[in-house]
Amino acid sequence: MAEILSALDGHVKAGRHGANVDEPGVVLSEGRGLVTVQLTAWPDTASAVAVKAGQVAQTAMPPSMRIGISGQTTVLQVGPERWWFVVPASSDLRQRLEAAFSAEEAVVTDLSHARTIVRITGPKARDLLARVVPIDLHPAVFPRDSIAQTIMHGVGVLLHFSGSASDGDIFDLHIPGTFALSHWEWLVHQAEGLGLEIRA
Amino acid sequence: MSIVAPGRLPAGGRIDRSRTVSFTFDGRTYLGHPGDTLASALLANGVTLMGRSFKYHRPRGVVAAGSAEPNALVTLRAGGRREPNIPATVAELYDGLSAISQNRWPSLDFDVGAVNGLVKPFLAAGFYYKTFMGPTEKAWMWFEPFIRRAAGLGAAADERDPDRYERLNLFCDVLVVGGGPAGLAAALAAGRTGARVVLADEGPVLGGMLLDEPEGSEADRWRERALAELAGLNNVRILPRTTVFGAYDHGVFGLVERVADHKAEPAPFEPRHRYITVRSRAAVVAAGAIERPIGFGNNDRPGVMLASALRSYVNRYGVLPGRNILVFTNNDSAYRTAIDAARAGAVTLADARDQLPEALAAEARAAGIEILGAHAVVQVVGGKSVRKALVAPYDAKTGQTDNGWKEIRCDVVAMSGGWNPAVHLASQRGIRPRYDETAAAFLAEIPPEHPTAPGMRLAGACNGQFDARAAALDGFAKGQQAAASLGFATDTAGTALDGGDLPADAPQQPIVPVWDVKPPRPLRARKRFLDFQHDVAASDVALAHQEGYVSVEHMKRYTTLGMATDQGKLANVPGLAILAGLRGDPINDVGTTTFRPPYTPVSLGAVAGAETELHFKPVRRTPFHRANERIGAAFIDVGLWKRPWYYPKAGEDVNAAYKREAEQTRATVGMVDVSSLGKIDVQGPDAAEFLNRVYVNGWSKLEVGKGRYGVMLRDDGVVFDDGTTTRIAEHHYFMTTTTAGAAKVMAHLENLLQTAWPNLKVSVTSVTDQWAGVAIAGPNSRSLLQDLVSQIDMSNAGLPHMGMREGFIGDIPVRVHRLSFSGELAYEVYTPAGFGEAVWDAILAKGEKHGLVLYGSEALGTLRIEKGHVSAPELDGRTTLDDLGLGAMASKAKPYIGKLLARREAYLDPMRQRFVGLLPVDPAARIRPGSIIHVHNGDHSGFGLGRVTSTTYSPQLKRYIALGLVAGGRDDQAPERMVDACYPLKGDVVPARVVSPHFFDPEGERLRG
Repeated sequence: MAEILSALDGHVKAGRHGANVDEPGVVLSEGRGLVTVQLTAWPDTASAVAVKAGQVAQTAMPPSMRIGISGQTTVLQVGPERWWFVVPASSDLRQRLEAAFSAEEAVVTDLSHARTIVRITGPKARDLLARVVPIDLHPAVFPRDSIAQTIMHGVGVLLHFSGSASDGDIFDLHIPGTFALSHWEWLVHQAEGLGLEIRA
Repeated sequence: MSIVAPGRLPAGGRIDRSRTVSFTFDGRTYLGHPGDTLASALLANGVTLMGRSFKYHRPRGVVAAGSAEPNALVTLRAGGRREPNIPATVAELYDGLSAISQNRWPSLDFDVGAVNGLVKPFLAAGFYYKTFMGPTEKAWMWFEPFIRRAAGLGAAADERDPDRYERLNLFCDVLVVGGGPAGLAAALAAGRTGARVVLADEGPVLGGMLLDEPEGSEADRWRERALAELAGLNNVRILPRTTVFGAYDHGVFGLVERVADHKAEPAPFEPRHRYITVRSRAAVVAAGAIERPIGFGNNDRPGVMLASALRSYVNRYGVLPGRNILVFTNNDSAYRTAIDAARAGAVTLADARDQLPEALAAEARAAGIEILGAHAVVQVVGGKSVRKALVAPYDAKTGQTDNGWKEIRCDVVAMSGGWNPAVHLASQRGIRPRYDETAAAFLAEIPPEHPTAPGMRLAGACNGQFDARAAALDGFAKGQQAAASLGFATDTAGTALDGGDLPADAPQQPIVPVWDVKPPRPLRARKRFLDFQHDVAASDVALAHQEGYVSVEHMKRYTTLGMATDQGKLANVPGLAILAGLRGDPINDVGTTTFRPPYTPVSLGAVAGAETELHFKPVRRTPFHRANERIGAAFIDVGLWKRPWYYPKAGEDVNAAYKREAEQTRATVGMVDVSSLGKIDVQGPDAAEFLNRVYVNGWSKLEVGKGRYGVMLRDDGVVFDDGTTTRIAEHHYFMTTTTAGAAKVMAHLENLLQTAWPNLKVSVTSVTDQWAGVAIAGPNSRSLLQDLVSQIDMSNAGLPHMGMREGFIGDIPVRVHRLSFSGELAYEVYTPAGFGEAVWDAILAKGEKHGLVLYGSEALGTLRIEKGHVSAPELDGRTTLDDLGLGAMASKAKPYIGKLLARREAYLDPMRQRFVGLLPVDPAARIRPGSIIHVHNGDHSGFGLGRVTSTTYSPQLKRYIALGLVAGGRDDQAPERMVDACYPLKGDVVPARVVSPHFFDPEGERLRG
């Protein structure tokens, strides 16, 4: 199978930029090798579909549209009866979901290449996000696993507080692929004042 | 260079006397100290003349010590960083600061424009309108530039601003506006409960009026304790140098932080200004109060200032701007100024009241101050400075002055007309301030849960609590209330601050309003200014009233009182009080004008933020963008998209390139990037029914693996968008829209499903980003794809016109649709975006032997115009199906959106403008797009018969052709119908024949080949 070429290919060059290069406040990287599968149920089938989808994907399902399931299989509820499964590109989850549901129950949309994931971490990750999305990121308001669908630089994006590492908390931005490079440049520009490390 | 600072006191002030900084004003070099403002440093250097007034070019000096300053506006910095109209009173001094004065020529000291002052009887309110607007509108247009040149402010920079600006979003439970005693106490009260607090103050150091108290005083120690405790609360965020300029719906506030204005240049990557949007759940507005000036003759001379400003210069900056000081007041607060100033200079105090505050007066007399009770300043004598003042007996009950004035030699007059609470933010939320007779001030009362200001509380001086102790107690209570209202537990027994409250300083005698002091009869009247910046005097208000402008809003606009950059912070209340006196109405009945954002000016850089230049707007790139760049495509902006426009060979311009590309496509085969088309995934058991309702044509019988061209109408019957939709599987369709229509069609479909037809089980998802697409067109397109694609039979039987099959190019999955926009045998090949470049390269690798040419959007246009296909220029929101010749598509068997209203009478008018082709009579002539169609050799004025929508050179016809909409359309009975295509901007008139829009292969034989 051909390799998926990222919309950011050739633009994510490891290095340090901006102010405070000795102690970068923000670390940017691309979440590569992941694809998105969308499952949409109907109002009268949603709860049964959620149960069955969890079994097919072998994962817990999100408790709400605000809190996702983060992990090898990330599950984010992006609409009242709609979920995104973010899985490794090698996964056959899309085919399994398509086989598991009739159209009367739920439909599967291939969004495998539709989003580019930019990963933001570092001690000042929240300071960067406060400059680009109008979302309250205080841990009490936006705890681990939270998601928000919001606007960044005029474009709809999904923000997911997906985990924590030694660098700090990790935030994944799911950006429409055709805007990915423009938004990457926007994030780099905004992060320069905070001290930026790009990891390839 | 001057090193003597005659105005600097030997000790005191919150300045760093251990360091000096050098700065220039109008090219002359001076020295000051860190902690100075430009104004305080100039005063220390004996410079009192800082500007010229707007209209009369009168000499002006500082009036205030903060952001309310109307006079001392300067232009700071140079080159791309030049910024005009900055009050010298807020410009923090830094080493190397350069400032120039404004609105003077050739120099501040000798200003030719001052002749305006000689003709000032003619320059009263309404002068320009009466004189120059009266004759004709054209007269005003002619005079306006001259008037604007004579009256003005500083000039903005012409060069690019080299600095960065940024935006920031903050969220909090309680926003505290202002860091004076009330704000500090409010932040402490809320912060102690654990609420998230943002505390913003416009100054570099928090403390507000407490900063004007002598350093080390009891009040100052209170301030330091409060700041120390706040610094220890990690739930409190303190924003100095940050103005809350606007209050908006739902607890949203606009702030601007001057991050680097106090430096010569921002640090690398540091923004100059930061525009902060705060979303708060509650707010305590403790914005303080602004002292009022009083109208008396020549009250605008340099040296006349607010009493609070003088106190600030003495105590905060260690500057005494004169040696002989006259204080004029109608309230207690100016006594403190007099007492503090008397430590360094000789002070006389005129109090308009006959009842003096005994304890304060005794303290003042003990400090050597001469007090004149029931006296008022009536006039200042002096030109570019104050030489003396005339003080006359004053009857506070009648407001009349009496003969028997005396001359007092002085170089500074400090005035206090009372205090205006800074109720601006409440006023912005629609709260009407009410005039309180006791406080002699407009106070705003916000009822609990007010619909437009929920959770907003006023505290301290802006709530009428003018003394610091009462303000702090009020602030503390409001901070507690704000936190409690959000569910935070407050310690109700808590006192304002450990270590004791602020010292008591409540007024001993009430204020007596004095707005304007008219001179006793024998004295010749001088102008008594209200709005210093706009040169509006008490006489202008009287003139406005005399001419019938009795509403405060009308008076404001007629006189321009309160319309300068300071927005009348000093002038508004005295102006409307004088108007009330003239009307004989209570001040409250006259009311105030409504304050609107911003409280103080906000730089355009801050508003723009980082969205400039490269980041002006987001850029949308197709999955083939890199491949297109490598091959040298010229791009064109289509909405946010970068689309390949043409692919120039050496020496080619766009015109040469597109003709070659279009011609070769029809001769062999061409490929164009069509990834920008809107793509929508439509799925669900009711998908076919859904398509039936949104498209004019029928979808029930479409087979799996087949596509169909469809047109959507708006509710009103006008064509909305078009595109092809292909049935991928039983309940699965792939819809394409125009590039321009993608977002609006998606929103339209989602809206219908969520509101009109929630019972339809249909899911729509934008998959524009998922799929990369190319169109491959031309007689060799089939052979090229046969060479490339596996698992698809490319024959007419295997993949008929409008068919779709899934296959592979190499190991990459592709969908091949056979459909044609160009009129050629053509296919569209779609693959997931991340495989796009590999597919592109694979096609190019095999392309040469089939004669493959890349074509851009320009040639794409040529091909579709030759073919007579409609596109965005024709789908302009004004055309119906019949106008476009597509009426036969509409199903008669089913309802669809727009069907009913498409039958309105006006849409059936046979003289509607119809879609036609236009062929210039002269084969070499070119019709410009946008030309107006007129009767041939007839009247070429007015709206004409129609319009030209699309034009191109046709390589097939070897001439220019055009599409357009012409009244009555094509007449088969008169095939030689002639019109003139007129382009009045260029004077073009091109006679043309009205023909079929299908210039090339009208029978469609090629695409079925």
